Amino acid sequence: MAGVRWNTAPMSIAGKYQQHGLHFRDVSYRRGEKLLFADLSFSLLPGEVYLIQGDNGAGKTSVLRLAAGLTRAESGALLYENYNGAADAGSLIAYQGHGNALEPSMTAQEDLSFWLEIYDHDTDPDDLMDHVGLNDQKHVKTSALSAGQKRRLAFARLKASERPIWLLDEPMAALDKAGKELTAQLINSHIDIGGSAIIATHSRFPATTGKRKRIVLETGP
Amino acid sequence: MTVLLRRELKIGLRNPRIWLSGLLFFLLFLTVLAIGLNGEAEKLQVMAAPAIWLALLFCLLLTFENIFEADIRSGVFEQLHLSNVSNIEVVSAKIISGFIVTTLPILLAIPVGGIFYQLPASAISALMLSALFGAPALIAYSVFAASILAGQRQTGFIGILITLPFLIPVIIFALAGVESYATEGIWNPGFRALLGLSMTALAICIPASAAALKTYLD
Amino acid sequence: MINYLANPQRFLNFARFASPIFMCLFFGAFIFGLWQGLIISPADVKHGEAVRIMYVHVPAAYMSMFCYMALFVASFVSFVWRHNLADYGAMAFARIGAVFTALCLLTGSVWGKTGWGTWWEWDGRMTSVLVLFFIYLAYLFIRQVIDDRRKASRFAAIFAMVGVINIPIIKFSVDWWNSLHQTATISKIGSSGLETPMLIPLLSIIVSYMALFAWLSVEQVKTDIHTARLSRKTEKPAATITIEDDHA
Repeated sequence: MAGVRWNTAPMSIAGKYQQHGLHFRDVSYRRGEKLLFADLSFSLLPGEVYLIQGDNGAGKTSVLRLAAGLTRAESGALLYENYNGAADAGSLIAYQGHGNALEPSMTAQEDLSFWLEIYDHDTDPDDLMDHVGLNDQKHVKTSALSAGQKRRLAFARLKASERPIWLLDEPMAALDKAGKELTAQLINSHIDIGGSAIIATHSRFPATTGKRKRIVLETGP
Repeated sequence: MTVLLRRELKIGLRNPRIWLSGLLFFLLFLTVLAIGLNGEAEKLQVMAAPAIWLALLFCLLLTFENIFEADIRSGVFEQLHLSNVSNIEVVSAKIISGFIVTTLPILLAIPVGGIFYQLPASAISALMLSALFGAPALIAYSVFAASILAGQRQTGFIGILITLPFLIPVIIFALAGVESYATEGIWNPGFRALLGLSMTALAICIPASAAALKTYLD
Repeated sequence: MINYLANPQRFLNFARFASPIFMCLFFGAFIFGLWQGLIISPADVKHGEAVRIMYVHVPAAYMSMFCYMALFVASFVSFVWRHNLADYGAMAFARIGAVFTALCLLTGSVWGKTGWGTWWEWDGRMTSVLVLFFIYLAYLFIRQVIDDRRKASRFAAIFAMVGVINIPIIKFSVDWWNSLHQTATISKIGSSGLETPMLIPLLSIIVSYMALFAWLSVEQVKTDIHTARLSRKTEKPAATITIEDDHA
């Protein structure tokens, strides 16, 4: 049935999530002149969580940026697949870097609506805000949000992107206990519907659902 | 692209300092120079066109130099890249919004500069036209410098060093056009060359800046 | 040939015999050219003995453009194919080009003093060369300022490519501006065809400059290859990778 679209209705999120994969094949990465790591191979499949741990400067963030296609590997290959077979990073990856990517002069709702327009998704921004617990801050400028609220808004964008693979760089940094709990909960709800995640973290990470593995990068003496 | 542009314009309107600082710099530069010339009408009139053009040039160089900085630091730039928005669109949106938000106010302030320098009305309109025709080239090269220096900490000078050589033709044609406006009208060779130059600059700088921004991410 | 030399090891083999040849060619042609220019060739009717500055000035002006073209080609190759040797070459060409351009400006200024009576005149040609000099400096600055060498080389390559489109525009605009405001007071030598006794030193100096360019470029690229190898050798090993199940 190749080439036949038997489902013309927009696919539900769960449908989009059903089948996907991200495969690192012998990936080496060089930053500037320095070789950070060599021959990294692993496969991320639905429902899986990979934690990336290790010393500062060992390349935790670089693994995420490579996975996101934001930077170029020195050698090796990155393969992406979805229900159709081979896919490009753009349709699978949602990335949360150190910055929350918020515009200070916009309200929370405006900021989220902007990204929904960019993704060309007609999801209701209010639903997303409810999902991350920001119903009362819809019309507050993002510059006036607390660190935890900013992070929640960033998670709302991750959710809005409807991409199955979440790449999170230190998602717990600068959060209080309640913020950490909510973050873990948001990650869990993503994994539970078949999503997957790679999380860079330098400390222990609270329990998540799903099959969990960790990659430890250790620089020598 | 229209989504990006709308966002840029909204940000511009909400942060008046973005365009106010450029405008103030423009007027301050002219004031200081006029004082330096002892306020003598003869000297002022001779210096008016180059002075206003230099003020415009530095003003745009300085305002556009950090145009990508905020988006890069906050992570918006990466997110756009991951959302399959091309760098060409990002650069174009910045150029158009920059023209509307920061450049138009300065163009509208040129008559004030003209009054400071005791220019007749026809000379003022010649200067405004030259600025309108030349601004795209100034903006294009400033954005190009900004994209090359994206993410660098100490840039100050270097942006100016990168752009100025390329802006020499702009100044030459603009001032020649201003000079012959009175006799040859709006379509004099200087203005025509200036318009052509602006188009060329956009055609070169938009893809070049997009490529530089891609390199920044790599 | 370029494809052949793109391999560092083959380049080093090539450099081993090419470098001394270029060096000998440079010294030979340079000494011959100076001897011809300073002693054998006659003084000019209009410029007198000062015409001899031409034998260093005109070839330098020629080299300033030639180096930029070389820089452009190397930048293009290094940008599109991400080739390291092309990038080393670009850096070498830019440095050499900047020096030739400075030499052209200096000798031009000295010649101007005898011709115009001032050290500097806003003559079209000299102004274009001055702007070219600034472009070289901006290029070198970009490479200097950006810490990540690989990124710096790509940014610089983009800049060099934008520059190559702009150079004719700048040249045209400056000539046009020059024709509007002033008339050149120094007669241009060379437009009416040079006498053979003047042509011989001029050409041999050009040959010597080209040989110097080739010699220095080869040496520079050679050094860069060795430096890169050295830094690879002494580099810290990559991080060790452990992948395991996590039971939190």
